[in-house]
Amino acid sequence: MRRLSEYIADALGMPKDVVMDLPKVSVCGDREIFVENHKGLVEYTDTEIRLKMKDGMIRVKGSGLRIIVMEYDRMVINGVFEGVFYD
Amino acid sequence: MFKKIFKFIAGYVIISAEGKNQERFINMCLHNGLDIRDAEPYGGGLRLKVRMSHFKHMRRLVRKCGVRVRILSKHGAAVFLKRNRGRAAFALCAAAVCIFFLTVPQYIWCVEINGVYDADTEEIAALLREHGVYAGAPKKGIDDLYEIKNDAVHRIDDINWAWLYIEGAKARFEVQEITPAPQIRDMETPTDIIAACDGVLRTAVVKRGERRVTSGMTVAAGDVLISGKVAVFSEGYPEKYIYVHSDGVMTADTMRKESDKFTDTETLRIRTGQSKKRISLELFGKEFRLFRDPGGGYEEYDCERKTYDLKLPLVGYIGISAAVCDVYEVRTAENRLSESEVLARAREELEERICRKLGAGAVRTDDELSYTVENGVYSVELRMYLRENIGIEIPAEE
Repeated sequence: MRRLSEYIADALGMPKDVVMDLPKVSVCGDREIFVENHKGLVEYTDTEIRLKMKDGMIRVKGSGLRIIVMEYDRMVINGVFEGVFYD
Repeated sequence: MFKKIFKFIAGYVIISAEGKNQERFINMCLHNGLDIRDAEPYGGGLRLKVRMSHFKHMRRLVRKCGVRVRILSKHGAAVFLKRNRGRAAFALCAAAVCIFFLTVPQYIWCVEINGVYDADTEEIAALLREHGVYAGAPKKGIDDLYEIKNDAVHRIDDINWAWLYIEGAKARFEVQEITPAPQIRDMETPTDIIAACDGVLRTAVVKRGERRVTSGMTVAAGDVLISGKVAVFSEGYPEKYIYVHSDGVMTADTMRKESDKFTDTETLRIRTGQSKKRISLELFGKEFRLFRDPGGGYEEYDCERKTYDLKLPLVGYIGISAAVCDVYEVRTAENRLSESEVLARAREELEERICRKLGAGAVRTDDELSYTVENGVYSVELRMYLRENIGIEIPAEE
């Protein structure tokens, strides 16, 4: 079922990550991931990072994972990635 | 880049956070607006970079989360200054170095003039000096660059364009010399065409003037081939002449020769494999040798010099250069040349001498090399047979 905010975003042509507060994940090759609109760190090891989102969880798997930048709603992860999963 | 510089100035600490609730600790730090960077797993916990001022606010969060935080190292300008607070000499030296590097680029320490082939470098240097550009001159005293350019172009005849570039403590004066325009051929002055050398005429094409020779004739150097004095009267009438600028092509078979003496030995400079480095410093336009003996103690040597300018970011050249001279020891040896080698070298040199005297369009038809040898000295004569235009212009005879 579509939400009202989604209708508004579609009707006005506004970005959904802004209107609906959805997570925005930008992957740069297999070396860097930018995550915006996260709700906090749940688990952090050098092979797996789990981030809480508005609806669910994002799991980043890889090796040598490092969080380079950590801000209230933005995170930059460095390392060699195997995948990004939505749980 | 600037963010990193500011962070370094503000100072930061690298801490380790160990315990059960590491993630909670990080989340709480983020919620409280604390700047955390470069988090990575470290032993059983995490290693983080935290700004110095933010670290103080962590104590409350540490108690709440139950993690154990330990400072691993402290970095940044603030920490550095704190550590060296008591060292007055160090601070003075640092200040002196800063003042030196700020002051030195305010002066010109090296003047470079590029692109000069025919113009007088001394004259250009004197002109630059008049405009305040010389080693040791303050940059403030340099005249307007357009004024320098205009003055150089107007006062020095050989210069077509010039510009002064100030690169740190170096003034680079780039010069573009005038390319001489091709001369306009004078077709009005009455001239004769005479033979430049002896030869047998093969073709004699007269475009203007009165023909004096025909093809097949043998001419000597100085003979008039085409006369600019043209008769314009009929027989029985008073003599009347007009004078014209002669023009024509006089192709003739000619022979030119050159001779010289050549020895069958040459001196070779062979590197022995021994080499040394000789370094000298160029400080503000003056050279200071760090070694007393520039030849490295070798009797015979070759030198290859390279200069390295000290350049600072944003400032550029600061008037300090290091000149590294690679000194190679050489020994001289007499090499005896074979007959064919001597003759080949002699031919090359004599050919070059003959070719310098030739005009455009000359074609070699044959050549002949003769020689005699006496005590290792070759007397060589080269005769070159050519087909060339032998006509040269001289003012017409009245």
